[in-house]
Amino acid sequence: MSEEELRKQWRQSRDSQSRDTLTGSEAETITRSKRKTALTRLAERYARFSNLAFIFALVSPVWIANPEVGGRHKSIIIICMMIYFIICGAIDRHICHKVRAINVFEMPTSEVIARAMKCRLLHLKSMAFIIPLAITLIVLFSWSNSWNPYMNIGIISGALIGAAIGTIQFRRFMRDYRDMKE
Amino acid sequence: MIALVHPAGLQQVVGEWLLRFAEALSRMRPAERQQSEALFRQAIEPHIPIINRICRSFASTAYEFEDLRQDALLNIWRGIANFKNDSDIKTWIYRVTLNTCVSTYRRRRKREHADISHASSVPSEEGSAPFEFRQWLDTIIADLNPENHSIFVLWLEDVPYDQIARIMGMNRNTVASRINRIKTRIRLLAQNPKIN
Repeated sequence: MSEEELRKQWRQSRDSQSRDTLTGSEAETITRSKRKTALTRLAERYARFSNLAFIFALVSPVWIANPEVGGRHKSIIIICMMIYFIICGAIDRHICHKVRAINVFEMPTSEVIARAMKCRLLHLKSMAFIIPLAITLIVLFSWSNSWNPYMNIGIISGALIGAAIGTIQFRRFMRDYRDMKE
Repeated sequence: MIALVHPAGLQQVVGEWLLRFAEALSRMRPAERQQSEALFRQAIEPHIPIINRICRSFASTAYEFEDLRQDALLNIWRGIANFKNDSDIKTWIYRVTLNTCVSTYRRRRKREHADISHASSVPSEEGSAPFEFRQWLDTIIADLNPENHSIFVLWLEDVPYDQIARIMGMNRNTVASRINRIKTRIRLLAQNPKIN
């Protein structure tokens, strides 16, 4: 098959559902649409998670007022929690800025690919760092409340639910990011 | 603060606000909006098949194709107002469509390369490429990384090497050598489909 033949076959290839014209109603749908692109949704997801993390960091000190929680190491644990949430919030905010900086209108395609790949790698690297930190915090929390079995049941249930939600959210993130072959 | 307290200042502030509000309202006038929509349609209608082909090459399902197509058209509409006439609109549409597809690109699941040596030459639809060929081309393209995928798609679209280099932000020689490598691979696969 010659190159011209290959190109001709490519031009003729057509998905049965694709439309080669833009109808008036379709154009109107696009121009008046409040739809967000996948990139925008991804940036907003990071921003949402960042905001949540900062809120949790602000709310964590409330645990100090709870007599059921803690033991001698209560303040240290709560400070560790605040630092953990601030780190998570900062990482998410940083990735959100990086995603928003991708300009599909003006950047060359290779730059868009490189930036998107960097964001994905940053996400995966930060997970490799944050997850052990979270596990350490949960273990610390559980150990400082070892005298209270109900608290431990709550911590373990929370950890399992958190892991389940985290896995679902991770899959949603990756559905927008998608795999890239190096 | 004085402006808000003093009657004349207040009048000025309110006046400015009313003026800005009127300007915003005028931008939303139905007639103007319809004109922009008509210009948008006029500008991109000749290039819709290109957008479809590119989005289709990056999608693995019909849903994904629709999603990418909508995102690409949306980005073109949103960016067309700031389009600088330093390049051809076709080149710009190529760039925006490719950037939309690669910014959230997913490598499609690896498929067995179809054997096209005995592929039927009877088209599945009138005027369209044989189904086996399409499948085979899809598997080849799906195996490429995003950069090579974009370059190959532009080459198939008969875009000159210089323009491909400009769209990709690469050196012309790099583009040429990558295209040669892809062509060699296609030739090998066409001769022996079992090679990966």
